[in-house]
Amino acid sequence: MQKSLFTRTTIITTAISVAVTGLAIYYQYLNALPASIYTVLLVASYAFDRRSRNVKVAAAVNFLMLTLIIVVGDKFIDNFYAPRWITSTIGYVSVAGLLLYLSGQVSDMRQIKESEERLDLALDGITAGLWDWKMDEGNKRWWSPRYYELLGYAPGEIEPSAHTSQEMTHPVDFELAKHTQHKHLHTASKFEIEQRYKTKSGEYKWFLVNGQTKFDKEGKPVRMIGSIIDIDEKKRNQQLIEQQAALIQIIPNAIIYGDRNLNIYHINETAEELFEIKKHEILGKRITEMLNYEIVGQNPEDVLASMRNNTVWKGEVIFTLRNGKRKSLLASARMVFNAEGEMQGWVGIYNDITVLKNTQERLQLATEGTAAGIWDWPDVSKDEEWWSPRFYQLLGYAEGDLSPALSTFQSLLHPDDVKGTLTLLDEHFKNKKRFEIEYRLRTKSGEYKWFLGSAQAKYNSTGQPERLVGSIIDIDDRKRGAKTIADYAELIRMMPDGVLRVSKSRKIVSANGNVQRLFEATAEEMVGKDFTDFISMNILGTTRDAVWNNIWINGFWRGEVEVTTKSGKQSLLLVNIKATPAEDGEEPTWLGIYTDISMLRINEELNIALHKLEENNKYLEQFAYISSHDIKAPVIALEGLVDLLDKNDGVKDEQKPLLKMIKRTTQQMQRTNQSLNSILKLRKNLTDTGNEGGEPVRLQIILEDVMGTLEPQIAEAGGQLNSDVLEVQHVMFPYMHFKSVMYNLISNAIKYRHPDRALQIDVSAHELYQGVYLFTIQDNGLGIDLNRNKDKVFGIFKRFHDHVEGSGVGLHIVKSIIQAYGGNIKIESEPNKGTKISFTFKSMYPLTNNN
Amino acid sequence: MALNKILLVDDSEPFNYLSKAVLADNKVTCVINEALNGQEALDYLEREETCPDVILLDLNMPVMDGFDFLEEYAKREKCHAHTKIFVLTSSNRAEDKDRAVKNKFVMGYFDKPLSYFHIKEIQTFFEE
Repeated sequence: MQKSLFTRTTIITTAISVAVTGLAIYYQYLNALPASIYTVLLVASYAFDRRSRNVKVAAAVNFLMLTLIIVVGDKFIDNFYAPRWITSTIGYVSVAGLLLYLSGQVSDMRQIKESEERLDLALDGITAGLWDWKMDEGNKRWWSPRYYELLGYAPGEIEPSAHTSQEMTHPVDFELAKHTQHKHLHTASKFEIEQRYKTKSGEYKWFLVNGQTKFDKEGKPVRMIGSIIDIDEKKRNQQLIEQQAALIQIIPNAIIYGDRNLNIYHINETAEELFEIKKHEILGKRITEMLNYEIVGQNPEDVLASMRNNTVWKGEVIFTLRNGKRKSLLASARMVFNAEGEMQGWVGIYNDITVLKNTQERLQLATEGTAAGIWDWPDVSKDEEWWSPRFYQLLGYAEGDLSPALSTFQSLLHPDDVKGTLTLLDEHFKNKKRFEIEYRLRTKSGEYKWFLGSAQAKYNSTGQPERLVGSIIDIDDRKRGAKTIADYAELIRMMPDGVLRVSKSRKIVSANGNVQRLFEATAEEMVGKDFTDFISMNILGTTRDAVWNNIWINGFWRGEVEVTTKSGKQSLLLVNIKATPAEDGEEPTWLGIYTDISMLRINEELNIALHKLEENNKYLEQFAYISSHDIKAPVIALEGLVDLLDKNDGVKDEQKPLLKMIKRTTQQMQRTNQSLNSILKLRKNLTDTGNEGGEPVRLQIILEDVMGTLEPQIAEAGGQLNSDVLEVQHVMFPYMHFKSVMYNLISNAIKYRHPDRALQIDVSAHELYQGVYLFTIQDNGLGIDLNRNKDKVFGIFKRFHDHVEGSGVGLHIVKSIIQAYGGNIKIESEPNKGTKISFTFKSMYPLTNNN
Repeated sequence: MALNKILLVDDSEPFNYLSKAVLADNKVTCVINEALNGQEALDYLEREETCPDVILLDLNMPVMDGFDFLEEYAKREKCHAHTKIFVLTSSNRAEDKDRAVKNKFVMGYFDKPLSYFHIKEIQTFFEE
């Protein structure tokens, strides 16, 4: 500043001087020479003036020169033949120029003075620390007290030097500072940098460093003066702001700034991404114009109102984007107010919690999946409870489907669990016994599920329960799983086969109950022992070594072993062995299953015996058949011959009774043979496949057939038959066999009727269950004393009354038929009262509803 | 055609006696010859010049039974066009009856003893 003032004044003065001198020379006044010399001197002095410290010298030279011109100039001017007024004019003009110059000098001086004073004030009062580097005076440096103070030192505490400067400069800033200084000294560019100096405490602080340099005539810097200003806080703030600005850009939260009119003036990149909108599209607009949103659970007006109270609002907002996408955002927003309490704008931060929300929902679901259902029985004197929604859910019900009460709960409890649960509840009430029990509850589907029930009562001051709160946890899977394992364990325990695990060193690892029985030892006695200590073995068809190789090389062996225990018990075992590879460094083992097939062998023998028996039976049947046939022929012949004898009258009268007896005996023989024959025939018929008597015919027709034969006999006996078979009459039964059953039974009733009363027969038939029918034939006849004859009733050739002719095979045949068809027969009878025979009979062709 | 000659083939003499008595009883008056088994019957047929009108054949007989006889009879041609064979047996085996009635020479199957109804049935073959 001071320099430029100088220069301007100098130039103007010089310009005027040059102009006047030039004019004088132009008019060829020789006495202008001194003025010219003066001008040259003046210019030279101004050149000197570039160095401020020579200003006064310059001014003095100037003055001297002018005085010289004015005092001696007349003489010269005269000598040069110039008119006096010209000389005078030049002189005055020069004086005027000088005065002008001087006035400029004075003004400049005053200005400098003022500046210096101001600077001093600044130096004392405020900020800058000054430094002075006098390159022309042996690089002498000087720091103002403030300079020291700014760096945390007492004035003069350290010596200012190039070295200390370098030491103090932050290594990062050093290169820049050096470069800037270098540039400044060579190109006279501005020297102003921000750099860090290390303070006494070791901390670095930011300073603004300014410098001015004075150069000598050759342009060599001679002195550099400057200041440092503490800008540390500003710099830090700025840094903070920059960092914050960067942060705002990169932060994973969406940030929106709005002005006082609620228009958006800035959004960060995350917001652009989140709202899928470009910054330029949204700036200057109201957020409501650009995005649809709803605030979860709150009224937008309330939210604004709460924000106006200078509070931060936090909540959940669901935005619907322009593409229809919905996003759940966790929002924080607040308004920004200035010191006067005027609203300046607002800022909102949004977090995308859509993913989080999904996770939460899943977590909630998962929690719900295992979480307890809660119930509360607030007043144990009343049958009213409260059940949590989860409680209902666990039971498959919707909330409120059931009226929550102990009685309802009890009705849901599995019948087998009611007693235990109520007993424990009682114990809990009376003795404060811990209430935790596993019980089954009936779910809506009717299935029972396992729950772990817990409860805790609140007792009043007298120890009486007032309130009960509890929970149920679904343990069905666990329970079932445990049950399965328990089932398997139980199964192995109960298995009819022996299950034995043996290590490779032949030591018994475990043995189930049947192995214990087989080895005649307890599990304790066996475990750890060599299994051959208990039994001797005879492996059928192979050697022990071969078996051993099979187990450990092929992994299994199967074969039969004869085993003898110490007590001498022998059994034949089918053995299945499977090797289990070694686990966790333990010895490999094999698992053997021993099936006692001794019985199988016995069964085989039994089968052979049975087969023999069957053959015998067949032979006997054949024998009976042939016998019956062979007897038949002579009996028939005898009968014929006796008849012939009777007819031919070749018998004397006294021999006639004898002939009659022979005739009766023959008839008896004949009848017995016929009965025997009919039984043999029936047996054959019933065992034959595709038997002849099995053709299905409707019951109605079979009965009509039977009655066709027997009705006359009933009528003759003055009797009556009532039937109640409508329900069954269209069902099909095997014709011949069923007819035989009905015929025999009804004819028995007729035959063994009571002589003193009219015969009454009741026949009924009903369906007992699907395809099985119950028949009863009841009479009021003679009856049988079952106490004496129970075992014989259905025997062959058994007769209980001898006043009428009977073969004694009727009931035997009936029973044979009924049993052959898988039915049962039962007789109830009392002498002189009557007989009731009931039997069941399956129909292969039961009625369907349609026919 | 008249019923003039009957051959009874049965090992049981009482039955043969009975049969003759029943035939006489029912006014069948003709020549009645007897053979005690199948072989005798074959010999008789070989020997005789005239074939019998009727053979009453029992099934169970020693030496040669009724079925063997029928087999042998079928092998020869003699009497086939003339003689009617009826089985008269005390067998109660259904197989016997089945087998007998299937034979093309057997005209009827009777259970012993011979009765009026059997004779009536035989006579239907000889009505003029």
